[in-house]
Amino acid sequence: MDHLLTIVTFLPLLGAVACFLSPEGTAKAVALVTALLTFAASIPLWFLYDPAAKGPLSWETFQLVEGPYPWIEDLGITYTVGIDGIALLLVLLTTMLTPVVIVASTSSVHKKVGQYMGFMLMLETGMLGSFVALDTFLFYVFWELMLIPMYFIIGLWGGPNRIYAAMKFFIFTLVGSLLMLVAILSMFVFHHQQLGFWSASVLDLYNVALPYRTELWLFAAFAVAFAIKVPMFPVHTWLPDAHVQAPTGGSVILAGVLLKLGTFGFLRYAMPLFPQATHAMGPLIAGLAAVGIVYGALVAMVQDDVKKLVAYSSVSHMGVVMLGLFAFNVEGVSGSVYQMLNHGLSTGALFLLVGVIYERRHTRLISEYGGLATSVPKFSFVLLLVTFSSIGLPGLNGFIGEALSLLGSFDTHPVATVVGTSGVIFGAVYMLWMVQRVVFGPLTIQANKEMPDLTLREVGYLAPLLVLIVLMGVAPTPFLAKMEPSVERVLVKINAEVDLLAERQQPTPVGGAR
Amino acid sequence: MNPALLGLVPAFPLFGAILIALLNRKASRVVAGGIATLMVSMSAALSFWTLATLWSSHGALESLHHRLYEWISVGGVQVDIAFLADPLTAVMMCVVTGVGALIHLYSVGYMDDPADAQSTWRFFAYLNLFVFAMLLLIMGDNFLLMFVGWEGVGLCSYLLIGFWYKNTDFAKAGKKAFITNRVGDFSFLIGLFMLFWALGDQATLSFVELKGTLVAQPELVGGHGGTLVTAIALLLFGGATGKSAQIPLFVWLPDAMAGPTPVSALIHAATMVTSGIYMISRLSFLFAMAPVAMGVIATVGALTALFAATIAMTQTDIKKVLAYSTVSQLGYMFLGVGVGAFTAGFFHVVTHAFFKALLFLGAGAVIHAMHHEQDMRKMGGLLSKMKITGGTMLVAWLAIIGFPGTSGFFSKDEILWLTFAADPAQLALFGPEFPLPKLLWIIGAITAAMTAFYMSRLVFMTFFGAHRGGHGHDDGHGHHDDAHGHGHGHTPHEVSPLMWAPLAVLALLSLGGGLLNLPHWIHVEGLTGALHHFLEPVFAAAPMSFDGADSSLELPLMGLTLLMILTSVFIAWYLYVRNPGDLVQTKDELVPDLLYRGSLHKWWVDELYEATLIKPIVLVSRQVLWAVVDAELVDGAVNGAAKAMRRISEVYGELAQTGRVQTYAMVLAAGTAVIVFAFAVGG
Repeated sequence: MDHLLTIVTFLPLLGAVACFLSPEGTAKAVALVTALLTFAASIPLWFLYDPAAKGPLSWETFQLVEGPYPWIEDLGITYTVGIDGIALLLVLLTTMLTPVVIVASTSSVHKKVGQYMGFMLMLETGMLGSFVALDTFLFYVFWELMLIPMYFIIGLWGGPNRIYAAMKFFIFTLVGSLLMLVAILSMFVFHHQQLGFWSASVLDLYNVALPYRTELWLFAAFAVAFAIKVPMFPVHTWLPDAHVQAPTGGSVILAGVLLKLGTFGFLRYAMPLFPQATHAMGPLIAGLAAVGIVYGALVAMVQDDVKKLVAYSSVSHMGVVMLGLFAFNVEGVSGSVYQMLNHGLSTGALFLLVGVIYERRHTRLISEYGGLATSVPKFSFVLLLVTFSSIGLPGLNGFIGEALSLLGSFDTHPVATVVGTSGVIFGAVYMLWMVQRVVFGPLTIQANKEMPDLTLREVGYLAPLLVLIVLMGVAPTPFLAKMEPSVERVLVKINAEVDLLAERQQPTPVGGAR
Repeated sequence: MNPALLGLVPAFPLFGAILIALLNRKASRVVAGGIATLMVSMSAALSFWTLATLWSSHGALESLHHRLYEWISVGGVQVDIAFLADPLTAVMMCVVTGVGALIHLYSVGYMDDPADAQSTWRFFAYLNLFVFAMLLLIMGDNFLLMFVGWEGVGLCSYLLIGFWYKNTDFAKAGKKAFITNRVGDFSFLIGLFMLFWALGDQATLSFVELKGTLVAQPELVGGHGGTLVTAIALLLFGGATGKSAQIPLFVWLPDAMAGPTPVSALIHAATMVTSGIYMISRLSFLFAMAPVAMGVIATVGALTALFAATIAMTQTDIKKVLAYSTVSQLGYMFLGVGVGAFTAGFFHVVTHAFFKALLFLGAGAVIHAMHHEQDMRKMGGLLSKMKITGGTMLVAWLAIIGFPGTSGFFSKDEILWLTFAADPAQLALFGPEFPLPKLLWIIGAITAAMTAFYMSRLVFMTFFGAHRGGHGHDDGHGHHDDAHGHGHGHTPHEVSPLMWAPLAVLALLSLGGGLLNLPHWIHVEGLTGALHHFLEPVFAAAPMSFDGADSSLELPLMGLTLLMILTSVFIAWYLYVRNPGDLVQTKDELVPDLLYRGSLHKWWVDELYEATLIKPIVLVSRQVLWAVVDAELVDGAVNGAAKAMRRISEVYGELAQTGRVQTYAMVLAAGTAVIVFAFAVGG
């Protein structure tokens, strides 16, 4: 059990190798078994992680830590992994979604199945590694490791315009990654200058104190990388293309987990590393997030392609996550992390559902559907449930994250939050309009009349998501309890120096963080 | 009563909804309806027990409270799944479950169309789910749980309006209702955020704690009349305009009539739409601190009452008349709570639940008997064919027009008098000196006369005169603006006892509901002001004064209103019973064309919203945001970069995958080199 995180992280990579090597027929089974084993191995993390452990942001606050094992000693680069409550939940989201995606892909991927499954598992290692890495260089390696399989999943198994979409995804992400690499390496240098030894550990780098201007530049480098990943308006345009061209499994993982790497990156790296810059840029980022919420929703509203609609809805939802992060208070940031999980579940489920009807009709045009409630009632029920999760109906998971994020950010950025909160209207508009055109109305198209309803396999892979959608709405406390102390500790780091600064500048402290 | 039993009140209908959903098609109309009715009846029994417990304690027992579990706990947000039953809650619980149970029973008879046989289970599951959500709304001990119910009833309304989803118009009506409500919710949420942060360290979402905090430290929200509390009150009221269909968000309610008629009775007349008034009553201590907001509420209420009444005058669809009448009556309730007469406003919620549910169910019986015909021009003379339905409808008619002695008379009159007598300072919309109360009374009295006219018109056109009926329409469609010429089909007949029994009970309540709260000038020990005394502790933290007028005017003003009402009834009688032949001509002579057409076309409000809001937003989204910002601005830049990238990879090799990885590695190396260079220079 000493190396549980390493086992969970690299098990998929082993499975990936096995998939690449195994014959076509057995690759699916190998992939599924690997993904399920990984999930099983990750479950103890929930029980082993103890949120009650107190203390400042230090090694103790990360748990199940392995390392540091020296790697590139000259630069202080090590292999160090560990989780806080935030990473814990995202790791579990990843290990839970991967088997779902693998089962869903068995009917949608028909060529080079072994390679597809291999890339999918390789991607899982990349994602898990990015969440558990406590060494910035190790994080960067995992971060880049995600890029390659995703590029191939879109480029080889995607739709007609897949090369363009893959290229676009590649360029956007690469630009961001390189900027981040620059910033990471710069931090190494600054750390060496100030503390006299080389280290790549994120906790060591937290101790670097930088002049405001330098912080601003380095924050910008990280922020661009993460903002592209989120994606934030206006660097979101790779996302709709990537989603529309990607196979169903690729879309689910992309929306479900990959985007969260962006918001997770902000919370783990950009914000605590550069607190002054974070606060200085807060209004700008909150503003862009709010614009993204409304913009994503409005553009989603006018899409004719249901997959593109869901893609743009991600831009809107991730705006809420960003708004919550930059609330700088425990309500907002907890809501934001919660919303990351929600978006993984509800948007993941939406892409799966789009995949279900695409496999039957080979079209994603909304106008090709209508009246499905009559022919495929089970599908329609699930779509309605997920829709209401997505638009934040109280009682389901989406509400908890959305309400906490917006509540939190209202204190910090009232104007941006008012703009962003209008998303509760526009979200209902585009989702319910889509539902009305797909599910309700008369059943006119012959192919829709003959459409078979959800199969047992489809119900099987959707069920875990649906259960969580309800459970996380009715009983959010266990999830919030896991993350809250971690959120508080990161906030102490993000807000501490800024509070000092504010006190120095103003003799009478006003309001401030609670 | 053990407070733990409170949890069972919403649990029964939730259980019913789940059970019916699990049985789905295996549950016939009678089985599904039976389960649903039974569950709501159990809730009703517990609700009456709750009411009796509180009532019999004579104020010794302030409220019952039961906490189920911790729901959300993060930072200052500490919210439980917990129920609170104070006198206000208890009365509302009884109305919701009592009227709810009657409507469930009625629905078992109503939903007998063979075309719906496969889906009646859905109807009853939704209906039970609605009662569950409505109970959360009224019993939740905090803002967030109330909001769960608030949106939950919206969900059920959406599902039930679109129950016949194969009809695209109906599905659209459901969507319109949900989205319009979301506009209100947006306002509500902002108000809630403001309130939460205003409290600082005392932040709470619990109603009881909030009341304690605000009574002790009104300065937290800026004190009495402060800007902050006014803004909060107005934003929360914004939420109420959505749910309770007031100007400017009333447009969804008339369309909501697309749902089956029992749904209109339960959700869109008796219960859900009164949520806004309930919310304001629940937060009376907060609203009372904001006189400007109170002025806005009273004014919006009065104007909505008048505006909706003007539309109801000319509608020919029986359900549309009732829908606008509901909007209008809700306006009265807002007028009541707006002037600070919380008990009077809430009293009207109760009596209106009786007579409006009855009117809708009666209309449903007529529609059922006429095989989905909703056009009053094709009715007439039904009293002789449907004696029980007709008789009960006449009782409801008397109640809604405020005929002396009926429940509606007492509640409406109390609102009107307290409006007239309200201290102008407590609704200081146009300053404390402006005689806003008197002005609002005039609007209210005129609306009362108009109500008497259009309701008499409805009753006369439907039940009196000669039967003008053709046969019914089987499409369940509600819009028949052009007259179809066809002969007589089925003869309308009285509905089954399953349907008329609830009508009879509601008729008794509509008639005798006034006993709940007899006015001070009828002295009966234990009945005079009973509701007022019972609710007193709830509104104690919101003291209001009603000495803005000489109390000797009370009875003369009532007499004046009564005279106006009787005159209206007479005019309606003259036009629709005495002289029905020259209906059209009379109308032309009496009313200017523009007024008539304006009323008939609902003053083109839908068209206005369509042209000024919906169309421009869609157009800008499609033509500017998507086509220009996304495709041209952002992607234009990126595609340029992509082309350059492709050039480079063409130079270094073919477009095979290995080429990309090489490019990738190369760029990576180049980037690193740049950094090293940067460090070397920067030192």
